[in-house]
Amino acid sequence: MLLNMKRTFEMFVDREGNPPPEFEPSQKVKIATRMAAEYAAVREPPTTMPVASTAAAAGGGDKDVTRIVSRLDEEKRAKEYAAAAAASGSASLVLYAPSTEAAGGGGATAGAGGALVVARRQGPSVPKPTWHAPWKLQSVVSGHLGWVRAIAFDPGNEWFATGSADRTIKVWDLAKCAAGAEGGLKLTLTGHINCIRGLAVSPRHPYMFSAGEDKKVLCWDLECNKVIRHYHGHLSGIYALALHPTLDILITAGRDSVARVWDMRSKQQIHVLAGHTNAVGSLLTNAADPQVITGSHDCTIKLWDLVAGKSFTTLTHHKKAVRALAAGKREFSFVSAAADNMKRWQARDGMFLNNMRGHNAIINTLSSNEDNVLFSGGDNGSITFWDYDTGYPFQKMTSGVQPGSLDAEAGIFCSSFDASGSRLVTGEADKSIKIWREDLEATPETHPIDMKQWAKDYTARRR
Amino acid sequence: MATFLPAPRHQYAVRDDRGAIPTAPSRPKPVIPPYGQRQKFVPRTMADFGDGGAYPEVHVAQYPLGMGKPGANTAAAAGAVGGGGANSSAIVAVDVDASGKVKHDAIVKQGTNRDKLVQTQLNNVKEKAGDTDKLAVPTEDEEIATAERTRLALEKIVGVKVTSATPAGMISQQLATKEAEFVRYTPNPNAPGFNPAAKQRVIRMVEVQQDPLEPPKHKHKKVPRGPPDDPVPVLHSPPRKVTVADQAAWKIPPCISNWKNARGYTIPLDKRLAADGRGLVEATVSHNFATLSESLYIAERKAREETRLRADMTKALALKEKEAKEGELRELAARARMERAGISAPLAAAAGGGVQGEEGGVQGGGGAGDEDERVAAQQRERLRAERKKDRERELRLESMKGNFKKGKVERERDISEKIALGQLKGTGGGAGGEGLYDSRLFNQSAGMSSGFGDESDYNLYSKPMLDRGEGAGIYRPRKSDGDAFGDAEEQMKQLTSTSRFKADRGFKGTEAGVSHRGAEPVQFERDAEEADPFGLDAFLQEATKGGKK
Repeated sequence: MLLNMKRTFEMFVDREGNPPPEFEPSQKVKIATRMAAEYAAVREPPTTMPVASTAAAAGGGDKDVTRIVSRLDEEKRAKEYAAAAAASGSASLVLYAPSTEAAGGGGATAGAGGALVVARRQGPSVPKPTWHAPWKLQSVVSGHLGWVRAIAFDPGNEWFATGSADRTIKVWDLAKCAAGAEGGLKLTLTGHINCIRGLAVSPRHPYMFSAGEDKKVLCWDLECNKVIRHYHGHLSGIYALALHPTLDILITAGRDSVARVWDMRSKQQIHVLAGHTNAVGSLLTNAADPQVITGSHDCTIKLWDLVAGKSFTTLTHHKKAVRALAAGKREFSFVSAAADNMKRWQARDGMFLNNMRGHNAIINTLSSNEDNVLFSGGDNGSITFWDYDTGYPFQKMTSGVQPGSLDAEAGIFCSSFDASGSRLVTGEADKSIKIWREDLEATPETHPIDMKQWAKDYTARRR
Repeated sequence: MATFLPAPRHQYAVRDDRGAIPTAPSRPKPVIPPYGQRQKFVPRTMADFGDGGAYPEVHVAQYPLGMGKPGANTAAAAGAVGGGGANSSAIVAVDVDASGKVKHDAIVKQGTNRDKLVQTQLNNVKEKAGDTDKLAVPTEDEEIATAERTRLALEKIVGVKVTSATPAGMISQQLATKEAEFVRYTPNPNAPGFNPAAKQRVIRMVEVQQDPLEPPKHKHKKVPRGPPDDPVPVLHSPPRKVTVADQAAWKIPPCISNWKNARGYTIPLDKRLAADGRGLVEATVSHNFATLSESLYIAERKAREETRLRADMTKALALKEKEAKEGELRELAARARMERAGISAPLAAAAGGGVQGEEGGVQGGGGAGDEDERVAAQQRERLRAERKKDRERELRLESMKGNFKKGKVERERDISEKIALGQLKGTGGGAGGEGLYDSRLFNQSAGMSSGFGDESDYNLYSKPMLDRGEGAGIYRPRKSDGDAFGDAEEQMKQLTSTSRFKADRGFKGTEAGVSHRGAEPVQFERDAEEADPFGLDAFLQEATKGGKK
């Protein structure tokens, strides 16, 4: 009895609060699986490098392996490894570091003990792009009498509005238009006296906003389909319009090379974001700082502090006019497009991340969806679909002109994914609206990623 | 030489201005104690540094040339160019980073760029994977916090603008400015009109009252642009040189319009032609049209060929049949002749028929009228041959195409052609007939009065040029039509004699169709019946005759 109690005590009391002991064989299997699945690439260290010390792994390894691994955790673990290695004083290399350092092309890791280990400069590792189904044309809607220059989607995803050079805004039923059925046109709004360049539908109000080259910014009440507000103040044509995602603020930018911030309700102009030296062609708004990003024809991008009404960074990397901007949906970054290149930026501080090369045209529009697909449409009707993260152009094509149009009328002016991200609507120079969708029958086998070419392109441009 | 020359009468005072100009009263030069005696020395002004650097042994914050002086740069930035001197922002203190390297980018991080993120490093143009923390999508808390902060800041701005725009806000504004301000004012003693009794004045400033109902007086004024932001480093390579091909691609020809030419330039014709776009429109006709027309043409030709062949064939067949029939007839005739001559038919049949048979029959006849028969046969032969020739000719003429058919050609010849051919048998003209003469040439004795008639008269020629025998009466009913439409003569007479279609009233002066041609007085003829409507004369004559009776 006493012996039994003692044994029980030994068994449980001293382990109180600790996790139960691990079952050895299952643990082994788990580690083996993880190694095969996640560390296969670095399982065998390169022969020229010193072999990672097993002591470091043994030091804090076991506990870490059992942890639920997220990306952040791995990073932390790598730091621990490095610390352990430094403490032991032995020259060691970090076995696994997150891709931030690997992409830097190697470098030096300084140990606290003064041992400086210089890794050999490696070639850039080619990131593997994620596979996306190719897109194809679903239907063509014609109804406008001029270039279609602006598109906005209803947040409910039932309809979309297009603004055209024929001075009208047309509201279309998405389902009917996509099916090519009759009666897709729901409404035509007139009120502008020049080409309409910016459209936005508010997700919190029954309002739609439009801006045009006639210097007018109008607020339409969608319950009675009438203009209820004018925002007066632009000195020249307006090229872009955006709504703030969280505040009741409207931002327009145009040929007078400023962006103007309007209070939606009182029609007052809150700020004039001046600083560009040429027309501002594109706009982006974010809920977090930078709340406004503008791309201009003076080849710069400015990130604005909305509170102070001043820019806090100017990005001068582009060589040609920046005509389009698109925000990433899964990360806080944005892509800018100019005739020379497309560039991805870190939004918070405007740090340059990577180029997206491959679309050799004057790019008029960019759109991205939640699946990390980025669309770029060119002034010559060329279309490229990109993998947002890696910058891999997975599909290149041209959008044909409507019968009866000139070849020169191939051109894409505006684009937008619908709220679900499964349809893409483009407004074109041949006065048509085209609706694209993913090819559902495509598989990675039928449309494989051309890794060879991609690796070639990727390494070539990093020279 | 001065010894023998007379002394000068006038004296010229030559002023020597070297060193005569009083030097500006210079400020007392600061006394900088020599090295080693600077324990109590504090460099305060720029002059204390004597154009040199800081004194390391003096343990006081020093700003030689104003470098690094707090507030100096911001003041200079606010005044833009106005800084000047040692305080200007053009001079930047050398700063080093953690590794001891000089921070050269300090030069761009001044002025308006002071509190901005300025990208100056090489790393800023290199591709890299971003910072995971910074790339993370903003959390809801962050968004809400940002929105709140921004909302408050913007509401303040909007509030000011809105209240200033409302009537109530305007009143409050006016109230605020209505309070009198007092300004102490010291006039310049050197200014004209200076009153030494009032060395200083206190001025009460009051807002001028405004009529609230006054119409607005605004005038849109162009606000000059503020100073631009300080430049930031340009992080892209210089633009490539423009190649010839690029230049060629950008060459836009001048606009040539067919409607406008404001400056009146002379535009070459080829340019004009190029401008109207006729070269641009390419007539695109489907080549199917060509194939269709070609095949149609071929088919037509074939059909024609076939019909011609068929017609030839039928004609040949007809000819053959005719000949065969003639031959048969001839045989029959021969047989009949032979029978008449007493030679048995079977013999003739045995001879084989035809001409030979006939001849044989004739020879075989051997009758008395041998010679006569031969002559007759020869005559017949000749006639036959003639007839045959005629037939063939007719056939040939008939088979001639279209316009060249015999009759048609004759009918449709032009008059000039006919004259040339001498075929025209007109009233005059022609080779043998009398000529066509101007009627005025005759009857010369009557003078011009007879030669030139009225303008409307058409009597220039004596006769019509052509004697259109059949053409003259084509509109007149013929005699043969009489049975169908009644007696033509009678109808004609009826038509011409009736007064039914005559106007009951003529033009004045032209009554009774008076001809003004002659100069002689109009002669009237007495109508016999009219003169004696009741037959009185006749009665009288009869009476006288009867009296004699």
